[in-house]
Amino acid sequence: MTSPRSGALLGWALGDLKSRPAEPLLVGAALTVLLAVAGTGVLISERAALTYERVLEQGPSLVLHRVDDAGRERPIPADESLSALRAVPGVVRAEGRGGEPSEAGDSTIDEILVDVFHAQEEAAIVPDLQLAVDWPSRIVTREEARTVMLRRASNRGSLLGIASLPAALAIAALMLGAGRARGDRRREIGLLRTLGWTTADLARLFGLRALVFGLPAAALGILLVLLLAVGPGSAAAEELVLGSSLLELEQLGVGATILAIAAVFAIVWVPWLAGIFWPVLRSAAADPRDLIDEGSA
Amino acid sequence: MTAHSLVCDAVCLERTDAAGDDHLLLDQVSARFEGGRIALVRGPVGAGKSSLVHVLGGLLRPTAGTISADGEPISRWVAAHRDRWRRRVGIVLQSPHLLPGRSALANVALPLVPRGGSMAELERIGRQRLAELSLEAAAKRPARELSGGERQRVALARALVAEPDFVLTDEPTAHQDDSGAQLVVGTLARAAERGAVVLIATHDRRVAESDPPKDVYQLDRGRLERKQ
Repeated sequence: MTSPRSGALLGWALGDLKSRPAEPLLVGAALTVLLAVAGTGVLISERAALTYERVLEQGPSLVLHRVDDAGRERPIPADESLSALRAVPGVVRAEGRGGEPSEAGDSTIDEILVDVFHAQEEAAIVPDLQLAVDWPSRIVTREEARTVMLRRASNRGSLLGIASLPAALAIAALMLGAGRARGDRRREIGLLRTLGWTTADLARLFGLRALVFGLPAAALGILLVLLLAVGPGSAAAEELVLGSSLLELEQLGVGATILAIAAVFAIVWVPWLAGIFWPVLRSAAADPRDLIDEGSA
Repeated sequence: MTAHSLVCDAVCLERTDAAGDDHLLLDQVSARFEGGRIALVRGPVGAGKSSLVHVLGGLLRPTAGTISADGEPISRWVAAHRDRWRRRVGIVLQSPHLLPGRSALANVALPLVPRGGSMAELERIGRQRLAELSLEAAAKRPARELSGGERQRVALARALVAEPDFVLTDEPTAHQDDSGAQLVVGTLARAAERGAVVLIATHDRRVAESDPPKDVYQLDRGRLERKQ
């Protein structure tokens, strides 16, 4: 329930925003876009990371390619290579993939998928596998593949999210701390304190003004995140964040989704709220006359 | 009726200008302003009248000396307590300092907002104050559209809206014609009648020549002298 004290303050805050609608609309739009962009980037990269993790779990321990001196991949003679690799101690499976049968009857393959008995042996067995075949090879372990895929998942998505941080700070600084807006705010604070408003009163007013347009902006931003990252718009957003992907991304659990959105929400809102309250706190010890003079200068 | 008092004891105010030069704006000012009467502080432009109003109203802290209100040394209070002191003060600055985008009524109600009540109640009180200063018709107009005289009267209505114990005014009759000036002085006299300390700092002769009885002070180059 709204107390009479808060009722008058809320009424005043609403009147303030109505008399100067451009600034709150602009800041509200900026908050919405920042939350939507950063949230979508983070959620999709999280979904991609989860998907890659599951794919790797189901995949082989190692993948082996034949390469020439320039590092280009070459066809692998199937029968002799698979036999040699299956004979290596610790190998429980070696299967060929890709390739085509040759006219001479000996088929070739593009790559060999190798499973080992223990996951811990993946890296240790690499030299043995290289020695088992009589051609130069490139072997990728599951751990190396995980690193590459997670980097790919996070590079674009998280960068999109992280890139929003300076944007959030810049918008907060531009809208709330610069030039004419800064002078107007100091003059307003000086005037209100001249008229008997305490620092606590000012903090309540500035907080209410922020919430009146900040909460709808946050709600709209979160709705956009859900639409773009897990809803009907996710295909287009995945394309944007990850580039073309043949994988259908796994969905995050409800808890993980809420946690990711909450983290992005905090990252966007904390600098913005700091920009709201800092001038009030900074002016607490200043003389009102000086605030009015500085604001009018 | 409770009569209040505002006492200056050897108050000095020194300020540094933009060029870095120090100026003594108030020099050993001592006076006792009693509730129930108008204190008229006269003096030429630059005599220190505005500085005196600012120091008394808690907008500036004096460099030396003490200001006491009803026996409390308000000038020595910490910033948070001085915020509360200003709540007991109604102040009219030389420039009205209204919020240009808000209506005259909203500007008048401004000091009441943090004190509680519904906006409707605040507006009802604000309308009464505007009516006392013949500003009923201006209530809904944005402050930026008001004339200079109307703005100054809105600033006076704002200063008086919470019925403060201490009313400090700096050139309150600025931009007023004779009837407007009479209205302003009459309104301030009624505030004094209910026991408030009312100080008018002005060089407007019409205030000195008006009817209400006054304690008259002369301020010149920062020094205050009681005249009658």
